[in-house]
Amino acid sequence: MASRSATVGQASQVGVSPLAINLIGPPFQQGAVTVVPGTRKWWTGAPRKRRSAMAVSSVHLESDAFLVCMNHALSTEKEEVMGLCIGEVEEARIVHIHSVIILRRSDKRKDRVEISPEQLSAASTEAERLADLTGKPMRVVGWYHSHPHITVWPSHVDVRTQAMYQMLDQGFVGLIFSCFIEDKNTRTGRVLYTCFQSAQAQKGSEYERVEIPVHVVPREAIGRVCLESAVELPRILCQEEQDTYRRIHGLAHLDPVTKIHNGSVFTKNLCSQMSAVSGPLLQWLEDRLEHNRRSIADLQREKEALLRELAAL
Amino acid sequence: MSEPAVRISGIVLASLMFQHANSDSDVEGLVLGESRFDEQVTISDSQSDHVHIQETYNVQKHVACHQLNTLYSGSGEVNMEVLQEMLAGGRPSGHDGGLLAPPQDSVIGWYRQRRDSEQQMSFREKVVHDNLRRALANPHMIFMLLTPSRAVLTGSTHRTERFKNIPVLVNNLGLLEQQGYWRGSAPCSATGYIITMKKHRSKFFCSSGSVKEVSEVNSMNESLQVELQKACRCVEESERQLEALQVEVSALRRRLGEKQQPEPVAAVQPEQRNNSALLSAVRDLLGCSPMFLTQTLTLKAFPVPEEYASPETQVKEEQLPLLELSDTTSRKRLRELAVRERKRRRSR
Repeated sequence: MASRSATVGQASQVGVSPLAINLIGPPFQQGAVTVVPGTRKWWTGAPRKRRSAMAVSSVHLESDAFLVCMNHALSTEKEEVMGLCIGEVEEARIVHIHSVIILRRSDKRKDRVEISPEQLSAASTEAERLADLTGKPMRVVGWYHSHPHITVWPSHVDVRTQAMYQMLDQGFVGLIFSCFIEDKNTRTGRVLYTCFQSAQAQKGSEYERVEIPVHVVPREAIGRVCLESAVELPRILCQEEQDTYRRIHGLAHLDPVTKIHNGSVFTKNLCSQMSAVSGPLLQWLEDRLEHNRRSIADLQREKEALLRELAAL
Repeated sequence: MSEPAVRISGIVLASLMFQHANSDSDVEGLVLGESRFDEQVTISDSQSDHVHIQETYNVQKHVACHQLNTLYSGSGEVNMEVLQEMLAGGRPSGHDGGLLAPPQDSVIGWYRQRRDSEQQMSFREKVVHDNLRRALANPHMIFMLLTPSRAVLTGSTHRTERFKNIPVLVNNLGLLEQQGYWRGSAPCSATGYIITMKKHRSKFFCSSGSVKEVSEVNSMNESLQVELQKACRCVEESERQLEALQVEVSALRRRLGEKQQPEPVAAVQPEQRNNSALLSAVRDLLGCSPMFLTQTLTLKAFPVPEEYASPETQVKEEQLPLLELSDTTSRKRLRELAVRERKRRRSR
């Protein structure tokens, strides 16, 4: 993706207080509150800055997609992981994230996380497939990445990267998951997540972060796409390890002892993946299956009872 | 001294948060897993025998209560029937539908998730925790508290805090201990996992239970050590040979040197060499000069005539090898010199 200096476009300086928007759509849970769109105006709580109408007013992240993102972010504390968000944008400028695609990182530098154009293209193709599958107008609506051991706020590189994506799509949003944070005094572990976009700074040519409210929308049943994404993680990790090993093994003039050592390192890394990621994921899936079977059995019984009652009436 | 630590996988922690996200109220339930106590003895300068007990609680899964406040009564007493039902999958005991219920031993604690509250156990939670420990006869139970909240008012950033006073390790690929030897592992009881291990076990393990790869690399290393020993022996032999030969050769050299040396000759005075041409020239020029003649002098450096010189001090011609007075002219000059000296003294 070529970088070029340009203004974001939507962020001219207009003095407004937090935007009022009309929600359109079915009711959904927001914590202890059931939100019924259309009954009242909802305040976005956007920062008090003079801006024109933002492209995005809030983000609704479905809980199963949240589960996949969180699992991905918690898979490693030694480097940042990233993925793409698939969903749709409603007329009320609410971005609905229905699922995520886990991406491989080709550039594992600590200070930057970037998605290649090839990955974006592949994700778009995947989004089209999901659109056919779900019957909803799905597309790539954002990206997420993790901040292990560091603050949840986007770095200047993240803000600039987000600004570049917004040049292609004003509604593109960024999510960051901050994990492996611990308060040393209280030994309290913390996980944070945030949603943001970028806007041209008031002074200078740099970009600044714009906070976007994000809500995790309940979804009892885990979607097929999210399940497929979740089990994709161990496969991607294995592929990365195989590629690394292949590159090393292909080096010329390695003596047999070095080759054996590298083989052991490969074995060790794969064992780590099986122990830390694949095994627990498999355990969780089996537990979930058991739980679902019980729930199905309970619901089946309840259904039969209701049918009997209805028949009796 | 013991130090507890909780280990949890990323998917279990994520699923806890997922469960709470799908609920509009607090959530609570049981934590299942395995607890382990390892004794480590360390020796330091100040203490020779320091016993350190590492308590590790591996969280493998969680079972949620269908409804709040059903696991315990209003006074905090644990309802064992409800607990057994939860372990049996929500069915009363004996109606597990053929599925095996996790044993009661696998309960290592309980959890609660409440929004926008402090990371602190309430009084009721403390009572329930104590009662649960007593009911399950397990003094080592953990309580997990997750408190999601908004980190900023706009709702753009959210935080979930967990636990307190007990370090929590989320098992992940970046843990440093993944680099070295693993002293313990969180067992995975997933059926698919067990099937996979059984299927491929024979490729990795010998019949004795040892790891094949380890046996092979050990054999290879052993062969290398044998080669090292062989080479060492060969070199040692050669070193001894070399030493012996050097001694022999040194002795032979000495003997040869001794034999080649000539007979010792008496000390010969170095032959005097005279420059005869220079000698005759000096004689002719300065032969009669009293400055170059050996003379007896008085204390005031005046020459003493020969007739007055004592026999010991008389210069004898034969003692003048360097100045051979074979020339009669030179003798004549000497006599004339002596006469002149006498006359001079008389004149005083």
